[in-house]
Amino acid sequence: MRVLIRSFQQQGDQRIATERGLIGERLTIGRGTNQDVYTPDLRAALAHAEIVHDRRGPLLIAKSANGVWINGAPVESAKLEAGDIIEVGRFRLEVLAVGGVPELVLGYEEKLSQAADLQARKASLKTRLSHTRLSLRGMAWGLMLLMLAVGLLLPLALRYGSSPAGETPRDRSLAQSGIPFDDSVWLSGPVSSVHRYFVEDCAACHEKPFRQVRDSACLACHKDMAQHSDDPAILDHPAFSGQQCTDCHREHNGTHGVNAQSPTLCTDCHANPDKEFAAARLAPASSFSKAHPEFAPRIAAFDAKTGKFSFAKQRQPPATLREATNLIYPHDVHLNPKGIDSPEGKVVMQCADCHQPDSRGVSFEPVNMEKHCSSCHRLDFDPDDPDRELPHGRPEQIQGVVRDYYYAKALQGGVMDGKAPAVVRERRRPGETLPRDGARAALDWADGRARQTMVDVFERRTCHYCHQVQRSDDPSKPWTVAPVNLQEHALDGSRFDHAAHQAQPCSDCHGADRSKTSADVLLPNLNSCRDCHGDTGSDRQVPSACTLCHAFHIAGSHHFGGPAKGPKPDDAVHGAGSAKPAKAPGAAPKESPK
Amino acid sequence: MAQTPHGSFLRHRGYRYLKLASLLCIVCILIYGWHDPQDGPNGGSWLGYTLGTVGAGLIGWLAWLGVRKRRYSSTAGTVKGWLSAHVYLGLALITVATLHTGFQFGWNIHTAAYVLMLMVILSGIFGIGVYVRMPTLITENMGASDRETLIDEILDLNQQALKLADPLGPEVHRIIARSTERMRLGGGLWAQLFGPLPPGRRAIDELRKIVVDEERAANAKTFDPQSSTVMFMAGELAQAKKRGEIAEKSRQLMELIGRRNALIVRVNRDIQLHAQMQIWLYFHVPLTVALLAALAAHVISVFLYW
Repeated sequence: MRVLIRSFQQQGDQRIATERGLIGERLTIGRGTNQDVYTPDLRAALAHAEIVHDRRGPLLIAKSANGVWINGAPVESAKLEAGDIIEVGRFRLEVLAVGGVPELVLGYEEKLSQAADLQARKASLKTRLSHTRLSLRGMAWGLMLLMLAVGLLLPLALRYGSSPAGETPRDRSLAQSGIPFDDSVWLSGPVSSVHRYFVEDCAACHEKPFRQVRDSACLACHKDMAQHSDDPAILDHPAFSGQQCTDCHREHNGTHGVNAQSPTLCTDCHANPDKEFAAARLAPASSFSKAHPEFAPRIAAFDAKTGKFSFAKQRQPPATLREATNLIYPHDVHLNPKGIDSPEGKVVMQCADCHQPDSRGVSFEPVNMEKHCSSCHRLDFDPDDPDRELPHGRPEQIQGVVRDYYYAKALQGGVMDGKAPAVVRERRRPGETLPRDGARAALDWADGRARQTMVDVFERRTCHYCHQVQRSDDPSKPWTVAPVNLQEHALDGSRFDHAAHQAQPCSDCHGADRSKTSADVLLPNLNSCRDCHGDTGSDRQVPSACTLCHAFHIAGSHHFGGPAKGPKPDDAVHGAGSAKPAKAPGAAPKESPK
Repeated sequence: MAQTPHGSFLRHRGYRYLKLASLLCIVCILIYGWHDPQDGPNGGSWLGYTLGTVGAGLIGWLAWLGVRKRRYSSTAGTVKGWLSAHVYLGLALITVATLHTGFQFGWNIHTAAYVLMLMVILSGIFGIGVYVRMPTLITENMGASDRETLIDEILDLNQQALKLADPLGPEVHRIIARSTERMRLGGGLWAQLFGPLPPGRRAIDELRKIVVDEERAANAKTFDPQSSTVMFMAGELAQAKKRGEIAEKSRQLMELIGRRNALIVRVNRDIQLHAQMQIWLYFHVPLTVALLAALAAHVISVFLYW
């Protein structure tokens, strides 16, 4: 084997190469001075390795059991290729060429001096975290760029880089949802359920960057919104001036909708209404369970002179109130659990026999004589003809009906009444008329019977059972029946949904079975509501926001900051309900309806 | 914990910043409890904006410590005072920022910023722990010496061992050469944090075997009663003497390698303690930078979509 050894030496700036050729069976490498390639480094064995040549080319064989480092790994033996690096201590042998003439060209170089080698080995030790692949700067940059890309640049690009086409927020939102990325990382909280259908179109509400949402954004859709008090006087009040939709309607706060649930929206003013709205004479309300005024139902009074009812709010415990109805109706008698007499015998009555829910289930249909009373309270007047009944509700017609009835009887004759004149008692043959001389007696009998019957109907039974009847001097209307006031839903300032309370028996709230007179106001008091309903946030009672029963100043045509249109200030009303008692700040309270 | 000299930043000026931070937390909690915004507690109420501003200010100031501690010429307070304030106000930030959220969380950049902040603070708490505990352990391990000197000594011992091994024949040289090659000081992240394997007993065991073999051979030949020829005796004696020397030098080598190994263990322990003491910074600092980016995105987004 012929080997060319090219030794490199650094002299100043120059790298000088010297060459020597060797011919032999093997090339020996080691620290021993007898070696062909001399590597005086204590880490090398005296005979460290040798290179032999066979048909396949040069082959390196380690002579030390520790192996030889070739290309950074210890080996027992290896076929040498051009470019292989053999490291022996601080000496470096490079295979420059194989397979030609000579068969092997070997570069030889002392990499470092002994002292420099020691320094280099020291320097190559990884003894600090900064020597490892962990990079403080790399991690910081990586995380920062990730945050900026996902948290800032992507949403910005989606907002300003694309402009989804569409007329309405819904259209633009649909166009936006076609883009595979979204900017929901910017959502500060769930959008209310009612606005979700255009959730992708942020610009629908956030019209301009870095500017708070303005009323114009809300009114773009809610252009007909007009439910914030009809009362220009209250809208002009300093407490309301400059109010924005977003002052009360907050978005991104959950799915419940943008109507505030917190009672503070109401109690900020209503806890101490005299402070700002003294003229309205409102009762303070700061908490349903602790500080809420008693119900103030509208209660009727009857003026006998004018024959008219007048209504006024009465804020007292309902049990102490008496209302004029002009009707005689003892609830306790009708609800007697043992039953009440009827033409068909004893009947046990239920509330629902007379009080039937209206179509929405919120309240009840008015009680009606024909439907609810007449099966027992029959309006018959002649025991001989029990099927014949008087019309209800028209006392002025009764005189005529009764007279006509008895005149007809007198004409027909055959009346089985011993006290009646003979002409009335006589049976008449078909075609026979009343004899002339008996006519006066027959009419007198009929008049007498009619008068007696009417006294009976008006003053002793039938009408008298339930109504206030008075004899009058007017011969055409000898009796007058006082007008009737059927108690109805008497709370103006609140809603009450009977359907929502269907599971409760009526008697839980209404003491009807103990009521002896129709003047009783059977509205429950506030405490019976408090049995179940508590303040918002309550965990032992039904958490009840103000708006569960009260609407916010619902009225016809004004929203905050809107133009003063609609009813004239004179007709203005303040308060829930539509056209009920009017109270405006600065105006004297009026307790009666117009 | 605070009894050690290294924890003295916690006791700085009679816990001045602990008191200040506690006061801040109590004030924030009281106002939060009293405040009753009509749409529930959230970052957009006046208190939400206030807490957010205080929190962002704190984050900025806390991050400034990274700059301040490198400014050795700065006269704005001592670094120890800054560190003390950094620790306590950093802990107070948990309260301020949590109240700022109004306990509204979601999969968004706002909660991401909050979580990053918590991670930064948690890594900081870990940092307090190691800064209080590790220096004592490091001193216990290293005594008066320093790591550089010990490494020099180890390399020197390797060199000495090779020199000593060289005349003892290729086998001993091979053992020592391998032992010096296989020696591990420090290493990658895992090796630094949990320590490289302690130096093996292989070199020493192999040397011991040689010592035993050589001594037995030397003794056996010296006192062989069967030997009769004087010349043979003389040759045997010379060989026996040489074997005795080999055994003696191998013994020295064992001692040398043993000393070196003890140093390696100490240096590696030192590397490990330092790595464990500093690893939290590799979370604390990059997470802080990420937090600043997320905070910027949070603030920009909430005001862009005001």
